[in-house]
Amino acid sequence: MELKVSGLEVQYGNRIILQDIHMEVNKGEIVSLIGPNGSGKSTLVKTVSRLVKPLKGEISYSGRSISSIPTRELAKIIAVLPQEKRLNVDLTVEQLVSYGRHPHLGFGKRYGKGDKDIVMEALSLTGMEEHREKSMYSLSGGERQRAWISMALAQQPSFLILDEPTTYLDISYQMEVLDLVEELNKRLGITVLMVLHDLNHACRYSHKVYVLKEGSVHGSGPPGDVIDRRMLKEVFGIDARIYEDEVNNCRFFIPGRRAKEGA
Amino acid sequence: MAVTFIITILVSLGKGAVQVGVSEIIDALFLEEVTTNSQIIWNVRLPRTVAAILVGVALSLSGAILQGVMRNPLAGPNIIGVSAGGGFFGLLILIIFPNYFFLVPVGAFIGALSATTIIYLLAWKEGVMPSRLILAGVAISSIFGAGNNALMIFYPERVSGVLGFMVGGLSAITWRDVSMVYPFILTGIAVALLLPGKLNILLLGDEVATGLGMRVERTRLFAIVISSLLAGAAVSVVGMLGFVGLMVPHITRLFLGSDYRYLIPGSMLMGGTILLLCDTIARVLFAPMEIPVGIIMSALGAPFFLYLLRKGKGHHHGA
Repeated sequence: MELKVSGLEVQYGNRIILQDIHMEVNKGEIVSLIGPNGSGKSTLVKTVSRLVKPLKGEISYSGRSISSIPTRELAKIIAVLPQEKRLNVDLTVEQLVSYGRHPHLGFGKRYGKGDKDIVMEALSLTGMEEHREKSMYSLSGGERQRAWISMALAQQPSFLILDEPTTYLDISYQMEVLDLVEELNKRLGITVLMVLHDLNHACRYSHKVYVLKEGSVHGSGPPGDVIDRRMLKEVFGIDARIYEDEVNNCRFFIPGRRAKEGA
Repeated sequence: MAVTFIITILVSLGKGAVQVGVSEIIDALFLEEVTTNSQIIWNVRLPRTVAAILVGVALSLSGAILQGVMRNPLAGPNIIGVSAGGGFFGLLILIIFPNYFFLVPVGAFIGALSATTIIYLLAWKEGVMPSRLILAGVAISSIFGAGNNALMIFYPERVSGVLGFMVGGLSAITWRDVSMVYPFILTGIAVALLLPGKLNILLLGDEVATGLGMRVERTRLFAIVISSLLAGAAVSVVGMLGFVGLMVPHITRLFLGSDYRYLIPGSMLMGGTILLLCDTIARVLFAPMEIPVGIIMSALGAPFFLYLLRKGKGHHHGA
């Protein structure tokens, strides 16, 4: 098992954000976190990437407790792309991706030929090779996200953590990014944990989903088992019709109306 | 840029109340022969030229680093309270204990570093958010500013003696002054040259930087310590010279872009050149009377900066 979370509790000040979270992610899986705004999805991914410190509970990667892994070492195991990414400076795609080598460099280990090869490989995996000399500012939303993913790949992680990788993207770019994630998962066997807003995306791209509600796990399992009318009503408060998409072999739903309180 | 730098040095050494030719400067610098002019060069102009370069380099470098770690284009040595703290201690000595004027550099240095420490501690809350640090800096600077004004109100008869320090000036600099600060500034420069890669990554935001394996808080603290060391040393020589630390990194960015691998050395060269140039103008313009370099710096520097900004060469994104 690649990631194991048990008995996790997180507070911001006195406010409880997550409580009694148990989660398991196996090697090579794509696992999505879903849930309404404020249910704690982002906090959970930040906690498992050690950006937020938990009050209680244990997080381990391949059996190693996260608190015992040095920062630089952790960056070789997991690569994290937050939802909000800043670009305060005008960088070319290749420059950005080369920063992905940071955890592998250090005193007496400067950026060299081997690193450049890995950067090129990361660029070609995301189809960004031809754009490598372009400014990040000149790219489309989808290309920009692909560049960030290349940077994450240049870290050579075995685990990729993405917080809402499709935010602010048009529908075609959303597909572009999620198709890429799926392809990387298949080709490289990289394990993926991501927060998704769109439940239909979660149905289509995940092996397993965790549904969060008010800081607790409401349910988990393959999307076909978890995403049903009852859950949509209990967690999201909507009435919905569920269909099977035979082309992609997954479930999808169309929201009806908001369910009445207590109905 | 390097050529401009060398020309500026020669002009600075040559111009003044007594004019000295280029060949004489070179003779004075490299030959043992003692003449009146070589005395002027060695004992009056050279220490001042060296001081101007060191101060310009230190303040600009400090500003460039701070703008990077704070990710804020308005950051500069004043933001972390270096000028206010150093200025207050300097004034305190000059006004209350004028007999101990020779302690001003030491006092200013200690004041600068303590102001930074107070600000950092006030902004600390499970880590330091750049925006909180900047706000704490503004508040603390304003407290020290009130202190400065109070001193001047209570001792109006002594104000004229401290004006040079308030505005920032390099008159009467000797080798002794230079020898007191150069170890700090050279150390600061040497360490700062290790920072560009880190600063580039820090510009991507704390979360991404952490994700890339950087210990963000430690790096930020380290960078702030280096910048306050540099700026504190500069303030102790030159007084409350504003604007260099804020402006030079921006000017450099307009020419070289925002990559810190170029921005750090570029700001150093640019800062040394600009301050030396302004100080030379300050000495020569109304010779033999001198005006403090701070006035020239702001009067010429600011319009030039605005001109560059309007011309808008390339991208200019915040920090």
